Amino acid sequence: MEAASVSPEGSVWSYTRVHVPIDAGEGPVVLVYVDLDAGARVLCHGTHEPAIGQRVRVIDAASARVLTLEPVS
Amino acid sequence: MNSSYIAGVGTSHFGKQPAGVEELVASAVDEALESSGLAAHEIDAVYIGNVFGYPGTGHRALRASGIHGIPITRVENACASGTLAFHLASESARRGEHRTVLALGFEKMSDWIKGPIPTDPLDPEAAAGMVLPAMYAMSARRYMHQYGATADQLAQVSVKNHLNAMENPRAQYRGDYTVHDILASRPIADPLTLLQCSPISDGAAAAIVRSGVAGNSRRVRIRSSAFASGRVWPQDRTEVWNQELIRRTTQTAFADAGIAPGDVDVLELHDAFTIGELVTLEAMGFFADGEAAGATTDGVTARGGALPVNPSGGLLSRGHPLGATGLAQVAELFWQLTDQAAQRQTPDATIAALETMGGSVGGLSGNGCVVAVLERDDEDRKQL
Repeated sequence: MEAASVSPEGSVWSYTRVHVPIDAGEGPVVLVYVDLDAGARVLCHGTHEPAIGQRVRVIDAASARVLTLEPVS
Repeated sequence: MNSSYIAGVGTSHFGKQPAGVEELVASAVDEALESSGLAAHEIDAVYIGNVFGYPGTGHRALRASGIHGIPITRVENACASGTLAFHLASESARRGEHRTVLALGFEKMSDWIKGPIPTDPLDPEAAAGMVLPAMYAMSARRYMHQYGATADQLAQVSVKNHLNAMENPRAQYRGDYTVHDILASRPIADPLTLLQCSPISDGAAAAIVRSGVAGNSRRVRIRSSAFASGRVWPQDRTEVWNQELIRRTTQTAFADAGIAPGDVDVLELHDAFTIGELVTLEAMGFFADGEAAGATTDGVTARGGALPVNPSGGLLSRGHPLGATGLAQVAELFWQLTDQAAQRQTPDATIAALETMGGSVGGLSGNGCVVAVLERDDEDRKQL
């Protein structure tokens, strides 16, 4: 297996707001699965609840372990 | 093809309880032996399903039940650990390796897990905070989006299974809830609320599986049993998590049994979360994609419906002690097929199916799935 660079753009596959405590964040965290245009499905944190199918760009968060996303117009 | 049979079953009570592993196992094993008319020394081998446990915890518990000195194998397959133990016991009896095999599942889960089950910390998903309820919640959201299913329809699965458990004295939770009650319970991972999530449970369950050689009692025939592991997921972007693996395993089990979904009279399946029951019913071929939600609301899967699903109360209400769950399903169906299910009885049940889905590994359609087809044996019917 080799690492590959792909475009960070994709579409929201699904999402959930998690109300139980989890290690990765304070308060309710919005988890979002994004289907990258390149093919992979990656798990991100959303700053708000997106819509399924919404176009987004995946960006590195401060922690570098957790991806976040921003809308693409 | 050689056959294998279930000679007897037993379970503990399910729920958070003071009993330790040895007590839980003893209650399940003792009842299974009594039910089969066999003694501990007649067991030739044991397969154990257990997820959270110390090394040797099964040997320790069996020693206390008087079972020792024979091959004992412990397997882990997440939520399907007990069902995998059953599958291996069945295969070993069917191939004639052993004449009488004990399939045992147990979990003293309350000692190990407090909140939602976490995923493997080495998975990138875990770093982002993935927990099991969130995984199923995303399936639920996607399913609702794709098929127009409603939160009320999802909740109806929990209403039904809690109502079924009213007639199961061994169930962890039971209750006559409304859809509103289910939706008004504490939010866990939207759209799933607390009463749509299976609980943390302690429990044990056992089945005694025998080869078809002459002289062995035949009560319930294991018509087929199939085990498969997950593939890289997603391969098709419309498929929710687990769907591919459940479909593939079911197709093998039903083909080996020579049955179609319409032949099944009663079903126990993996409702770890409400959405799990709907996705599983469709993946197993009982309903077209998107139609299990409406069928549930229409009562098709209720007790007395055309296809009773989870008459025991399922994982949602009977409880979900991971390693024990699959064998609790086997026990319920054994009782259904021998007319011992009391108020839960499906009249004239002849063919039953069970499905258990285990897994949380990121990027796979599941870790492992087991589907089995059980059949009332004519010899048993003649004896009644």
